Amino acid sequence: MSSAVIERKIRQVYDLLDNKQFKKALKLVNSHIQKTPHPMLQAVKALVLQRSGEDEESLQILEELAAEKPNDLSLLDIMCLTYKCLGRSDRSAYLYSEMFNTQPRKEVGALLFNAYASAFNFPQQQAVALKLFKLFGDVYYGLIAVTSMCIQAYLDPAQKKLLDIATLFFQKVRTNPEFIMGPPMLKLELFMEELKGGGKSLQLLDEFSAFLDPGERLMRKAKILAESDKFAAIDCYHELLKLNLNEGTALMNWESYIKYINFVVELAGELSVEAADLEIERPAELFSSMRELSKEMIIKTCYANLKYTRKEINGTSSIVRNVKRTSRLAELQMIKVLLEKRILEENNKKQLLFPRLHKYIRKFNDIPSTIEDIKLFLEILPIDWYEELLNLILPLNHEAIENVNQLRSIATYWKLKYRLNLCTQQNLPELIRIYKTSLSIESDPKKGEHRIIDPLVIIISRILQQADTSLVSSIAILEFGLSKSPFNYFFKLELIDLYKKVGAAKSIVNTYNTLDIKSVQHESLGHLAFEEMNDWKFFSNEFSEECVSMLNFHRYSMIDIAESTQQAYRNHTIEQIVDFYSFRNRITNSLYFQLIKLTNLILKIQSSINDPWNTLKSGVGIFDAFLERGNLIDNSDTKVLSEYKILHSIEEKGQLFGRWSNFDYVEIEQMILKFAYKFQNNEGASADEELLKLKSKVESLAQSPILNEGYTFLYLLSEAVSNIKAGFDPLKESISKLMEFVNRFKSEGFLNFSSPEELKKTAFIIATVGFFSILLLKLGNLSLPNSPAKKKKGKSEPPANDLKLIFMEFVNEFVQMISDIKRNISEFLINEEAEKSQNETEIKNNLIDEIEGISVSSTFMKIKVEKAEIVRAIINEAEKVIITITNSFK
Amino acid sequence: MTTLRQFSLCDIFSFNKVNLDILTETYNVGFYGRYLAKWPEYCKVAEGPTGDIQGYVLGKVEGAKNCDIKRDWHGHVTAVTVAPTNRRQGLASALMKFLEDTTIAHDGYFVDLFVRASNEVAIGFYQKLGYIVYREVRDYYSQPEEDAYDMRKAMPRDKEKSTLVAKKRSISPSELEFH
Repeated sequence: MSSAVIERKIRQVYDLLDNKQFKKALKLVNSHIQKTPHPMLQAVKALVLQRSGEDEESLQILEELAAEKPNDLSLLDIMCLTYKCLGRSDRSAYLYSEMFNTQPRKEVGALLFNAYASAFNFPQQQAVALKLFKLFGDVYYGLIAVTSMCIQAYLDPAQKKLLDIATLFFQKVRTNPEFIMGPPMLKLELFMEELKGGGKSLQLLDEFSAFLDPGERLMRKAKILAESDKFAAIDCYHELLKLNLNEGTALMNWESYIKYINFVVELAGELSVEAADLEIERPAELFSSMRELSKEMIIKTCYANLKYTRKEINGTSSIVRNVKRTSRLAELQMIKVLLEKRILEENNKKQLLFPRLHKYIRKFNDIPSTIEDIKLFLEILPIDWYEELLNLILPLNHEAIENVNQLRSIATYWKLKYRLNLCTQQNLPELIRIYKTSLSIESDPKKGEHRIIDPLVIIISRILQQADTSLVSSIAILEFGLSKSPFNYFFKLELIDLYKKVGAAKSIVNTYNTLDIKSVQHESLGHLAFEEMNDWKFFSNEFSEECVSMLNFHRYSMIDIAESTQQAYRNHTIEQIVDFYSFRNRITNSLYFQLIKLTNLILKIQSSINDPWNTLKSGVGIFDAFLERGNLIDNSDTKVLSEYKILHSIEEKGQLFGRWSNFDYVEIEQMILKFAYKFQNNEGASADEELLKLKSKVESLAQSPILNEGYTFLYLLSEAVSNIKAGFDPLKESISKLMEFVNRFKSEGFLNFSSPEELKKTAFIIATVGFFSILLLKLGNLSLPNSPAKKKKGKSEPPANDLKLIFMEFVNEFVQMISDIKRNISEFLINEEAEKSQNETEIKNNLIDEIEGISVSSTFMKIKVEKAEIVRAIINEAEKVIITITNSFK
Repeated sequence: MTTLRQFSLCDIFSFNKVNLDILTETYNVGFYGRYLAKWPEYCKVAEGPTGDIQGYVLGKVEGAKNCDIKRDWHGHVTAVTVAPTNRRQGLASALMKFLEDTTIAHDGYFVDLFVRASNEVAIGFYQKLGYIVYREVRDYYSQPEEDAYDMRKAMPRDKEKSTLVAKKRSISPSELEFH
């Protein structure tokens, strides 16, 4: 068949893929293959399967094609595209390398290089680039070889010797007539020199000055000079900070202030100064050399430089104001460092910090981040000074509110008060009054804007949270705040947290969806909803959606990062290649991704629970990719709400229950699934090995406070299943242990539904333990009649039916346990009615009802309805577990 | 308390305080990767003292660098955004100034940007910085569909400010010289 015909057929399939008609595309490609089993069509089929999410099958086809050692570049292109989408750039590299060995063409070499670049395989990149340079004399590949060597030396100091080779090679490449020295080349050379710690760096920095912004250039220069000439390094900082004396050149570079202060203080060494010593006259010239100064004068001059910067610059622009603001903060920073180094004694602290903090807050109270800006300085104040500091800025809290400017200062006052942990229930009436008044003063926010007074809503809700009974009121005020300031996502984040506390899982999902999470945000914010959905376990649709979004994000980001890296090579932007490498590592080792992969597999098995083995088999490949907890990276963005943290508050750790915050549970899940697969697949020794791992894992957790009933139960169940092969007595013993556990569990009145946490635990036990129990019992039940032990000659084994009876006895106990949970839940529902009337009384007395439009009662009812839905979901799940187990053992 | 520093791809894990803002679009990784790979000098983040991302700018340089006839070598603002809690500090102005300085270093004729015609706050801000509405691009935006203003500011290379005079005051997206 002519290539034109094949091309036409492929085009038809591609058209369907472009329109995301995967099923039709698969059908079409299959019919084409039936007529013409051409390798190109097979490769296209692999692509279709990959796009349809059938990765294992896709990979299988590719490997079959690869085994034939293809040498047609068009075929390789399709195969390698699919390999790339499957995250297997290593296989593309293998195929191109095989081809390049037999056909050392530039075109193939370029593809081979790109495959190694996508896989971040630096040594191989270097080898291919060198070969291409030698074969074709292409400067581009010569420079890429240098880049690859530098990156290897950067990532692994043991490879530092490569820098000498890179330097020599770079010199050689430079002699090529096609070489053009531009900014990327200078940057590459600078990167190389800085790594070597060579003296040429300074010269390069100067040559490079037109291409680097002054801040970056001077910071780099100061860093290099710090080793050899400390005063010259200070001169660099001076040159840099001098730029802030002029509106046209001023930079936003807080880091330079920090480094300057630290450097100067370190240079001065041991010294003692008093507060009064810092009150010095303006030097004749700011930022002049310190080479001739005494230690004490160095400190004083540095302080004066920081202080008088704000007096030097003139103008009314935001840039000028920002320089003045930064100057004040730098002054505070210097005092903080001097106190930390004991150059200033503690008795100077109040005298120095209070007036400066006061002045700063007073002058910049219109900026939303004023309090966040001074957080580091507030943290060094003793707690018993807080009241006094707050009293200093009391005038910001106006009695009568007449304009927006006053609202800004009021918001600042209360933000400070809250962060100093001085807000109490007694403040609620005033806070509510201010908020209510503000609504008539401040106009509705424009798209994307927040209200000035919004922080007060969060403070009110936080105060209400301090009394657990007011969680509903706390939610009500936030929901009200959100209705008045619909673009304030902080409210949504707070609400998600509160919905978790009251068990309103559906609201979490709904609110999360309004955050319009996209792309990388699935990785950094997905935990907000996932954690909760996972603990409740009844959100299979939402779960599936999040799993698909997350898996897609990972799949496409790996492709994106590979392409971006190739672009970075093309542009010789070496620092970006290193940056992309770090990004790729964070994605590859993502904790959240691991959880999602496992969840996705469990969801798939759940939907085929009557015959889970094929699903388990198709997903077992992912176990090989699972990483140890120690190697995983949590990419969650936890800084989003940092501006609403009370000073010195302890970071909240994840809950002990649930699998998100408890990776041990995830490992146990992995081990059980792996064991189930191997056991079912008759991999006896290997299955025993998995069980041993499981046993050791659970035993290691035995003394841990996080050990809960779920783990123990699953371990005992796995042991019982494994003992089917061990013979009658061990099996009987295992089952006795299981029954003993179930009976003890039941007799302890194991469930008390007084809190959402308890309800959550119930949901978790039924859905998770129920799922794994069904899986393992199914395995035991299927395996019993064929137990190899009974076939052994010379041993008197009881008939299989007896084993089955023993197993059935346990199954009945387990079903009874689930029924008990169900009954307890029904009783809980009745008790909830009584609780409702009590809560309504509380609501009537609640202050928030004073604000027009807030209906705490309706919030309360909404949450009640949601909780009832959850309870019904638990009952439904319990029913499902009972039916499935009963059917399996009929 | 802000430092403008090179945008790193890893910053996108922690830029939510900025990107949860309804007017700030979150793109796929390849979008950020492309900008960083091709125009790293045009991409900066504003970082707070504890490493929080307060805002950022993404831009590029495009056109024909040495063509005095076309005079279209210019800097383009792709995204400039500041977290709501870090506004009123001149951060956006500083980010825009940085982008203009970078364009001057590249010897560009002008800086341009697109903005939703309804985004009065942003238009006012750009006008304050010296940008003018160069022309209107009909139905440039989707979700919701809306016209864009193509705004420009001349850089020192264009002494006569000739690049601010549009041939047509209103065009369709297909007529744009750069996408």
